[in-house]
Amino acid sequence: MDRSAQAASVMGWVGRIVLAAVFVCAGAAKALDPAAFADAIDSYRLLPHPAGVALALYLPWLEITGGLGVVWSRTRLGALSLLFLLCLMFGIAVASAWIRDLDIACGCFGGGAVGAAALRGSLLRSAALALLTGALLWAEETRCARPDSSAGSM
Amino acid sequence: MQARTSTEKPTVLWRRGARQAALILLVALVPAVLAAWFHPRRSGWSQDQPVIPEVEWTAVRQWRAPVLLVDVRSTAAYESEHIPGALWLGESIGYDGMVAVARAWQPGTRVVVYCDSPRCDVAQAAARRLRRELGLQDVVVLKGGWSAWIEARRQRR
Repeated sequence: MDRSAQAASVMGWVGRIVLAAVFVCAGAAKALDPAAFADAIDSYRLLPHPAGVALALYLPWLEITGGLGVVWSRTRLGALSLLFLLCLMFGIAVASAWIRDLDIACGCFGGGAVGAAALRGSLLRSAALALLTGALLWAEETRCARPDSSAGSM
Repeated sequence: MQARTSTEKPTVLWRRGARQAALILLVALVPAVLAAWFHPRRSGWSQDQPVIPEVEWTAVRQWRAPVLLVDVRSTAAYESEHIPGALWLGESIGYDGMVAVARAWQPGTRVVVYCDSPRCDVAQAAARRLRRELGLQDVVVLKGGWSAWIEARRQRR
């Protein structure tokens, strides 16, 4: 392995660890208090209450398993695809709240600051996470598409 | 043959990714279902979700007990105009808002939460949180919300 390939491998490893840590922490914060997260989902005014409750129970665990799935090479491709979709979904929800001038907290980490400025910050964070996830997904697809690709490395 | 292999590869990759994603979706379902049954801080579904009583503004005006009005509309709406004396809580009812209500509340005070219109369910959610997290029992929702108050004011003039 030449130096540039080694550097790319290290960057990919660091990116995956950062992504996994962010999603596991975000999921754990919300999994601890599903009632508060259901209220946060309700405040977006996008879903009926029962759907919000179901999402509040499921989404945190999807973030945790998705985050852990990124670390394991055998589930990485699927986990990155799911997390990329989640980032897009979060971004659309936050953008819609911002456009509608809702004074709500993102709820991304189980609460947070309220208001347009906070929503703009959450939107930027979602975009940054989507970029990171997209880059890692592209790298993983490229790696898997190589003729000599095997089960992969951690 | 070479061309066929190169066109098959994305399909194989897509299938592999879809299988892995389905596995993750299923694994996440297990703790979610357990949380739905056993989590001490799970939210109620619509069937057992407590519905906070709604009261008309004309009834609120006749109360003798002190009233704490809580506005859960947007900042812009609150700053534009609000019911005199109403405390702004914000739609997400963050920590600061809860502290503000806890400080403003006095024993014997009745709390009335309002949002924009009859279609707005944020007032119900806010009232439930005030009951659950601050232990306030005498919390109601203003029927019709801000639009009902505007209509009542128009009729008085």
